[in-house]
Amino acid sequence: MMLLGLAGAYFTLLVGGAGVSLLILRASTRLNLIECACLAWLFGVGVVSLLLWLGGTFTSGLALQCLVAALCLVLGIVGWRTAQRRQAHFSLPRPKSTVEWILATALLLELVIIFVVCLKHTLGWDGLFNWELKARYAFLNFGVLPESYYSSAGRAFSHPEYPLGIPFTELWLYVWMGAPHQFWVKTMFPLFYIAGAFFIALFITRVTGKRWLGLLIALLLPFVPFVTTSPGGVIVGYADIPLSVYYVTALGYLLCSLERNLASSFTAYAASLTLIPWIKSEGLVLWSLLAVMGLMVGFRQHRLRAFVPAVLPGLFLIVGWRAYLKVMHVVTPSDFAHPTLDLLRDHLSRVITIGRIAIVEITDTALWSTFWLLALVAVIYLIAARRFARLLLTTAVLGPVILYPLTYVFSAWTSYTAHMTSSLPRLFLHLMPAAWLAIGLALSSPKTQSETLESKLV
Amino acid sequence: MSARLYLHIGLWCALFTVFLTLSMPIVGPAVLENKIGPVDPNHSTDSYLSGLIHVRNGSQLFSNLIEAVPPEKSFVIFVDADSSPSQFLGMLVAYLSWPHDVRIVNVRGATLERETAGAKSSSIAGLFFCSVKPPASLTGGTHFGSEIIFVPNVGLGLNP
Repeated sequence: MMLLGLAGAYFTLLVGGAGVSLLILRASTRLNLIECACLAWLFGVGVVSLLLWLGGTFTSGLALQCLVAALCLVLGIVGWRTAQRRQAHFSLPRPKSTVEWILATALLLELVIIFVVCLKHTLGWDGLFNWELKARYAFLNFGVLPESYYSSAGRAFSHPEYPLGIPFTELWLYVWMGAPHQFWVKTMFPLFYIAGAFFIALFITRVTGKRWLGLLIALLLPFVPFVTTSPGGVIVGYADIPLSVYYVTALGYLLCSLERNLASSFTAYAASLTLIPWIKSEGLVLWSLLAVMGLMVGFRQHRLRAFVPAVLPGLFLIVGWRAYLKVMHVVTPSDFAHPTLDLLRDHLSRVITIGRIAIVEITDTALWSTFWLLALVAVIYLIAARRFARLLLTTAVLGPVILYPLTYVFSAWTSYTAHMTSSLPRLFLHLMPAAWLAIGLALSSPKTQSETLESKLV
Repeated sequence: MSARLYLHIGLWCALFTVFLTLSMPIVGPAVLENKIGPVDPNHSTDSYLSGLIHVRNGSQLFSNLIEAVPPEKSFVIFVDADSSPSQFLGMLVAYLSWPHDVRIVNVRGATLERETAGAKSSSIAGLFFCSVKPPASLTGGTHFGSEIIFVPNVGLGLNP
């Protein structure tokens, strides 16, 4: 019965997400099934978690579950009818050479292994206390996180101020299963990884025209030790891999929009961008950077009017969530002090130590092997290419590498260095798929980089 | 093929070889460790309680321990400020104590007596000591596994 409920949760979530995906890709007449499935997962997570949060402000229990499920079905039907009206047809991209067949088979096998490995581990510290805890408490309170949770100083360790994208997706599974379940809830985390791997393969194929290269890079993803071994990776139920997947999705669609000038790519960028700050608080840094990059692309393409509304939903979400926390009297987070010029002046001396620790963390081969060396070489390639899209990708990788460590200037921990070593590697993980995308583009030989192979897209 | 292309291929082959050579010995064993299951609703919390305080089915037993406490009563959880496992245990206790309100107090040896004295209130259902030895003045403590001691309100010398 519980597994049936789990299937029901995934079905409704994917139907809602598929509906949004079909509406976003409505300008396309040929739809890539894998792309649609991955988007259905990412947007399904966004739809369900947002609806549970918003719906929970005026209803609860079975009524809330029925409301969210009904809206998911409506979205699915509307999306399907839109696709039908435009006579869109689905296609499954098939490997076209022996090398592609081998790489595709290896990738599928690898994704199955990742799924199994995820089920072998417990939820990690943050996975349990920052995310699953919220889902459990909301479930025990008829689908709504009570105000007493937000304002409880005793549970401040669980970061009540963190957004609800992940915990309310977990809640959706619990609501359908009829009970909190720390084992089955883990099934959702490898799905983010799988979506991320497919998107990296897709974007590299789309931009370079080389599917084998996309598949190869997707295949190499889990060989970064941090992904499959350390706390923060895919195995422990943290939000870092999901956030990294939303980031690379928004970035990839922005690049596609720039290189291929497709309206649907831009809409997909805007939709993915909106959900970034809903997954983790640090997403605000990534959202801001991508929003500025989107505006730069709009300026360059003389479509500024289209780009400005693209950042508005995310802005509303960020402001709305802050306002909600204020209404709930959330306990003030204590990890970072309120940034002021005076504090910046006082803590400016930290910058050298911060830089040193950041280098130590990024060169830790036990966490990264030589991944960041690969990324550095890729960045040099991209800068040397002197093309706007490549420079944009460089900014998307280098920007957070610089911005994330600098946030520790405002760390409120007694030892800001301890704060850094405990959390900085996980922040760098947010950029890992984007850096793989950069490596993929750098690997493609300059001769064929400008090729655009429409046939390989679908 | 131009020399530049050979250089390009050679460089990336070398980079990937080094990357995989360093990665494989770490990723390979990590993929093989552990096994799936048990398929249990409290899979993670039970696993942590089993590892840290040697209690099986700990989440359910913990619920049994506090089930008679009225929901409006709260708990105070004492943890060792210098011990990560103790702090983790304190968070686990807080996690499992829902819907009771909790207060986590980080203590060092010298401050424990003062902190426990300050925690005596009729709204408090009891005190949890996670890898912290309760002061001798507190009586009637119940051991929960090897590292947690629960002192109910009665042991504080107050009326429940």
